[in-house]
Amino acid sequence: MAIATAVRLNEAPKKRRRYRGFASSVWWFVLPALALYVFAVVYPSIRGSLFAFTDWDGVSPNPSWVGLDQFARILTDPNAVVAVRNTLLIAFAVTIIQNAIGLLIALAVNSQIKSRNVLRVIIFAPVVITSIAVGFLWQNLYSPGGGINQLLEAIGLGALQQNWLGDPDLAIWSIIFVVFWQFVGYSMVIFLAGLQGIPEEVLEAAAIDGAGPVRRFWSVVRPLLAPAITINVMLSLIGGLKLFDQVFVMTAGGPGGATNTISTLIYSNAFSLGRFGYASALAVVLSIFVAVASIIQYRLLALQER
Amino acid sequence: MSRITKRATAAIAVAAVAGLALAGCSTDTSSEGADGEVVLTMSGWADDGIAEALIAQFEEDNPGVTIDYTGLPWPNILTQINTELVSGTASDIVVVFPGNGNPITAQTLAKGNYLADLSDSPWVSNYNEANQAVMGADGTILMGANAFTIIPAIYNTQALEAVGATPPTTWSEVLDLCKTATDNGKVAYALAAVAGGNYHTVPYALTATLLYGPDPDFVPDQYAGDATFSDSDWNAALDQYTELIDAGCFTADATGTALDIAQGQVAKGDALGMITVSPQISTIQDMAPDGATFETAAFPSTDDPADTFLPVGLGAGYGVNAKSENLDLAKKFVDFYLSEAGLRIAVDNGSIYPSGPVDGYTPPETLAGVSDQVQSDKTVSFPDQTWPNAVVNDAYTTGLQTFIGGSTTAATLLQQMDAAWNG
Repeated sequence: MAIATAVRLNEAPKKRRRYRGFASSVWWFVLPALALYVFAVVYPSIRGSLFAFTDWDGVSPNPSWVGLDQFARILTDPNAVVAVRNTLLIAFAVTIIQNAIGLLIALAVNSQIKSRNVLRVIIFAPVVITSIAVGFLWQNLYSPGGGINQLLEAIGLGALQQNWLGDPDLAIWSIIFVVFWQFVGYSMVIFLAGLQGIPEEVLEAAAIDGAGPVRRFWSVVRPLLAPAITINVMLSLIGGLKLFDQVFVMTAGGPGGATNTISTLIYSNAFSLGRFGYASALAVVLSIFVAVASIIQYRLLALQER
Repeated sequence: MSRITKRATAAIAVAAVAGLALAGCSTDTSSEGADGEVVLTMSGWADDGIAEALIAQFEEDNPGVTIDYTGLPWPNILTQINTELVSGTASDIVVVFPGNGNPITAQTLAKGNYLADLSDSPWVSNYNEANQAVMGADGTILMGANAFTIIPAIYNTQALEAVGATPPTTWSEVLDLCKTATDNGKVAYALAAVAGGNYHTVPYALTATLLYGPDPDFVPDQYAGDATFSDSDWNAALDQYTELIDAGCFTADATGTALDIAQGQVAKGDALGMITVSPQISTIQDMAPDGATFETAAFPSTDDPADTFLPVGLGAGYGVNAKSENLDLAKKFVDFYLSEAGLRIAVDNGSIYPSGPVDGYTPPETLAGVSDQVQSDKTVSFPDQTWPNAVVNDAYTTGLQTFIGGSTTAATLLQQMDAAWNG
């Protein structure tokens, strides 16, 4: 016994040394990936951000340092004001609508209805289509003689026909609907995974205690879905803030700049107008928006998860 | 594994990754193939049959030379070629636009000296002074293009016949055609006013006759500060645009209509015609049913046909990367591209109006209606090719959308263009 104890005592330091050696080798394995990440992501991001402090036009070899002028210009550029407003509108509208409807659909297809698997596939299908293709599809459907107006005419609602992408007041909402249509299935799948992780017996116990469907949802399902809500809200908010493809394809920011987002404004300033410095300043602002929004909502939702 | 061995392994791993990464970012600057043949690189349009035919002939004429062609779609061609030129990784021969309206125009790229000087090339004398002005900067020629782009009114011949009309030659006839079309359940002119549409070409057609044709000094006066858009006949052109809109001449809800929808309206005969750039004729033909034919005419804006000018601009062409290792060979290709032999290949493989002389050339039937006007040089350049920066064009195209939608006045639009001109 004493010998065995002595052996165990002797083994303990050996195990610790082996662990330290293992940890050390893990870092060596991480280093190449880290070096690649710094080379491919960190360095270009910092280098790109520095252009925000210059007047670089994208071609001249020697841009001048202009300090914070490009950031000050954002505040006085009417196009930037519209783009920031649209970006925030899209981000919040998409986040709220997509998650609310996505949750309702997840609750519906999580039931025992016979066609639930078919419904899940149909609702998720738009997620796997590229955003460019979705943009072209809906641009066609939204055109004045397109599918939506034809459908309205066919069902006797011709008075509701609209110039969906040509009306400056309506175009931004037409785009929001497309983003919702494309990604509601994504939210649904995450909520569905969360719902399927809730033990049936917990819900049964709540029912036996007299909780109705609304009470069960609010007091049992909602708290247990908190991680799924956190992920969904964060992804849809970030996606909304960065939105580019659908806007670029359907309206290119028009009519008259009415649907510009920060992303489309970055593109047009950099690649059409030769204002790379200004575009970089807009990109820095967008990055700050995404970071701040993500941190705030993550902390709020983390509190809820507790 | 000993500590030294681990360190050595890690160092090799880091070096290997860094090496791979750097290799991925570098360009193969070798231009000589394994068997000694020279490889020229070229970036052009995707699915460009004319470029393919030119390359085949050039390779045949120059044994040992191979052209490695990269076809790029719109709008990627703008960003990719610009980025490659700036980073020093561009092809030997690249697509370049005339003027100053996008990231790969001659005047934009001149700021970084990214293009070789082609001023001594034999084809330069084929172009008039106005064209040469947009082919480079500060008196140098940096690109050449093999075709002119025209802005005519393109008509569906069968649709015109069905309503008993002919292409109008006066402003009054235009308004009559609009009424005739409406009475027959059609529109006279298809219009797409979403980005990338043809809405901006209508004022180009109108100002050709109202301003740029009769007053060739207008642009120099603008540069001298003696003229502005606001105090010019751009006002008259925009008034006529409003008159056309109010007369129902255009596609309803044009601000929500995409270009392919408008082209389809002409192709199917739902619209009698369309005021747009000539390269779109082939697209419209492709969309049309068998047997449909199309014709072109200059779009009038006065009641005297003799007043009418036609907007004719140089199309996109090619320039030579100043950092090319095969500068002389690349220039030789551009010389071939713009030689009579090269132009002949172009007209044989595409429906274009060549920018230089081609012996025995007859324009395609679709362009016959404007051929006399081009040959008599009763033409003006596209206005945007003469503007000092791309911001004027952005103010114009963005503001024009809201003008068509009715939320911006002509005065506001022209003030915005003046402000953009003045930077």
